[in-house]
Amino acid sequence: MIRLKNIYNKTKLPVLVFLSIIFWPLNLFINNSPKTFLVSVAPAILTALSYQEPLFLLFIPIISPKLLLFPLIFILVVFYFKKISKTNVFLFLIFYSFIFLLRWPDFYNQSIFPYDYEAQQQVVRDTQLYDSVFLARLFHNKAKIRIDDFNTNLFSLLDPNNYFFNFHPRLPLSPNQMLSKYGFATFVPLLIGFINLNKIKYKEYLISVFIGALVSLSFLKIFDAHDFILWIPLSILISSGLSKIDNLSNRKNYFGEIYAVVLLIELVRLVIK
Amino acid sequence: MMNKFKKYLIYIIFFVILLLAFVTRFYKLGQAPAGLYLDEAAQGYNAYSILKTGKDEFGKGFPIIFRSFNDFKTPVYIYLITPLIPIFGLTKFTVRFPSFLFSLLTFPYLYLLISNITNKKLAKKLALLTSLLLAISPWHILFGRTNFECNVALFFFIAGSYYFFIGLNKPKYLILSALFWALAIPSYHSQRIITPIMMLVLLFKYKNQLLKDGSRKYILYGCLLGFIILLPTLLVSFTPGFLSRATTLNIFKTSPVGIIDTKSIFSFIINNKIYLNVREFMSLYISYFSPINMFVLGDYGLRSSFPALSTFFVWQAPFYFIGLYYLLKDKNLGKIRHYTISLLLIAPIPAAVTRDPYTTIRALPLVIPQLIAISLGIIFVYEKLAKQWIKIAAIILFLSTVGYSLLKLYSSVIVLNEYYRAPYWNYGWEKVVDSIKLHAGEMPVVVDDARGEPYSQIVFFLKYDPEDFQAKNTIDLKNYYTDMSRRKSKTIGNIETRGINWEHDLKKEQILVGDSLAISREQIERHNLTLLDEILFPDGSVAFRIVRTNQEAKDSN
Repeated sequence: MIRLKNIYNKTKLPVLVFLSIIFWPLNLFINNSPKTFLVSVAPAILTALSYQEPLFLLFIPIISPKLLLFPLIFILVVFYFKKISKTNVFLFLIFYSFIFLLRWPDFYNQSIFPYDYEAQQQVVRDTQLYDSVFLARLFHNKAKIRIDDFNTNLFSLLDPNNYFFNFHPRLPLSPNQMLSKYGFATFVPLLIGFINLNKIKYKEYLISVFIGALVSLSFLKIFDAHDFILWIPLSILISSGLSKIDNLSNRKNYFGEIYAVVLLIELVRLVIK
Repeated sequence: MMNKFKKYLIYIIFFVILLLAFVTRFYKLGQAPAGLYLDEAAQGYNAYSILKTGKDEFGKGFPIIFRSFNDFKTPVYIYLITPLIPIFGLTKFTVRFPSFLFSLLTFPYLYLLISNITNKKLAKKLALLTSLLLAISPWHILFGRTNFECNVALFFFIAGSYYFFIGLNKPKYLILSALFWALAIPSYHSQRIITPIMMLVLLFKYKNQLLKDGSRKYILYGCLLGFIILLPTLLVSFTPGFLSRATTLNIFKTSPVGIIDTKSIFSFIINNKIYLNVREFMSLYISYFSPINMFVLGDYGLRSSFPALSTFFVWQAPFYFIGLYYLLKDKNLGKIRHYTISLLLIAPIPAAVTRDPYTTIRALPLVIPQLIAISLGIIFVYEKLAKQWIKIAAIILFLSTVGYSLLKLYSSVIVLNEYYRAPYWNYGWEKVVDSIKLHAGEMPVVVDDARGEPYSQIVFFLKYDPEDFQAKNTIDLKNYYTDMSRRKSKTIGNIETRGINWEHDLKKEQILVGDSLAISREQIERHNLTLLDEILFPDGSVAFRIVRTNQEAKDSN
């Protein structure tokens, strides 16, 4: 009995972590072709490998041109944290510039930069409503169209409902597969992980991935499926949060058991759906 | 000398903030939004009816909750409008004035509350900055310019909170706290949940101070006073009328979202109602903290938001995250930490049990802790700036951003809102009534109500005799709070609000009023109607048509 209890205590946390993070890749796999699945997952794996060797990032835009800006932003943030030497950054940028030139046309066509006729017409209509030309131009202009698109994407990526409820109760603003990313109960350990981000060993790496992903994805027309690059840092945070809950107090808490039951229900729903 | 100057400077800054709040709420009050929504008209007319007859529109004397459209409106706002009618008349300005006034009165109490419960080093800065952000808050401004009860309820809640904290050291103020909190509860539906929960949370947190000898009798007096004020509300609290809003809107009464159509053996688990309702509640609750709702989309309701403007400005987003982090981590902020976190967690609850996503009207108290978080973020960033010249540049940049935000408010509230949202504010009924007065005389008038409830606006703008209206539209007053049946059609002198019956209504000479769907151009031609007036929305589309049936021409044909 004591042996079973020991096994249970030792495996509880890894099992909970596994149940938490399996959602997103499983859902991607079930609902997409193998090629689409690989294109979504490969950048996440390369990002994980980049912790040891940043040059792995250079393969990301080759596999997925939508993530063209990610390596650049990631490297700049890592450089800001002084986790990479100037020489390495310089070398990286030289290789990156070739890839940038190669992949720019593909990226551009899938970004927020191409001309948007409808949005432009809306700007023209709205500028007619003002007595003051200054006010009309201040709030309705071409730059604002791009800024609004960027903001919409950025805040969609920051929306917890995106990750736990498929954007419910509101609809996503751009076409989206509406896949479950995490079970809704995972919100708790993720939040705790964020609050204790400072205590995580690889916090600079995590912050670099977050900023790189959030900014680069926000430049896209449709970021759906490519936001899987956030799976690695989010999974680390969830794991950290679960570990914190597990060590919370000497008194027995049943959070783990209830959490596992809720996640299993969510997993069953995912498979049956 | 320096201290005196600092003290006066604080008063001057606060006065400027108050002036800003005054301008943003008072400018074109009653004119923008240009229409008068049916709930606003109904509240105004009920207040007028109370003033003239002591009874509501149905003839109920001084109701505890107002039946209106069977939505049983909370009473406080309506009774606040009543004494204003002899001063300002029954106008759009009058019905929106209490909202404006109490919105403004919230500022001194908010300032005093924050400066009282924050640690000394931060107190004045946080209080002033939060007040400034509230002065330009799109969320608070919207409800301070229009007839929404939630604003008045927020004032009572904040005032009650302030006196509670004063009362911890000076127990006699606990009576005032009880008074204001007791007034908050009948002021708006969501305060029926927020105020009691916050009260319990604060009572538990400060139980040691409250249970000391000097305080107990004042707590008792406060409870007694609160009970007396709430007694009328308590008497009707289990009637279908009192519970009507909660019953129709709450997520637990409808079929849960997310049911999977499956014959699997797991169906009873995965489609379990409790599980799905908890899930639904969590998604609605978390949406109130969602950055896309706060900084991009705003409220989905077209009367609860301004075009191109969310509940907060985009520039406030990074400070919000920083401030939240600071709020959770820094345990030296003072009593404000516990108060803000508690209100942050409690305020969305009543809104999250209703099916509508991110309704700012039901979660208005949430604006306070979220603005406090933003203010903390701004202060934290400012204090991290090393050099003096950078700090000065930051202040200039901040003030420029505030200036930009004011222009953005003008753009959305005055320019875009009038153009795009006029139909949703029921624009045009004042002109309809003027047209009826001009053209109808004693002729019967039929006002189409297929897509609305126009009677409240008609009686409002006509300033129709309440006694006559009560006599012709009576209900079973004995079951005022329990009988949920309702007759939509109303009789207002020679005016009837009902659907237009094209078979029967053409047989006599009368005026027909309807929107462009009810009375189209084709119908005017087909039925030989005479177009008397056409009222347009600001965007040029047709709001209403007023026509006369042409019995003679039809007969000769």
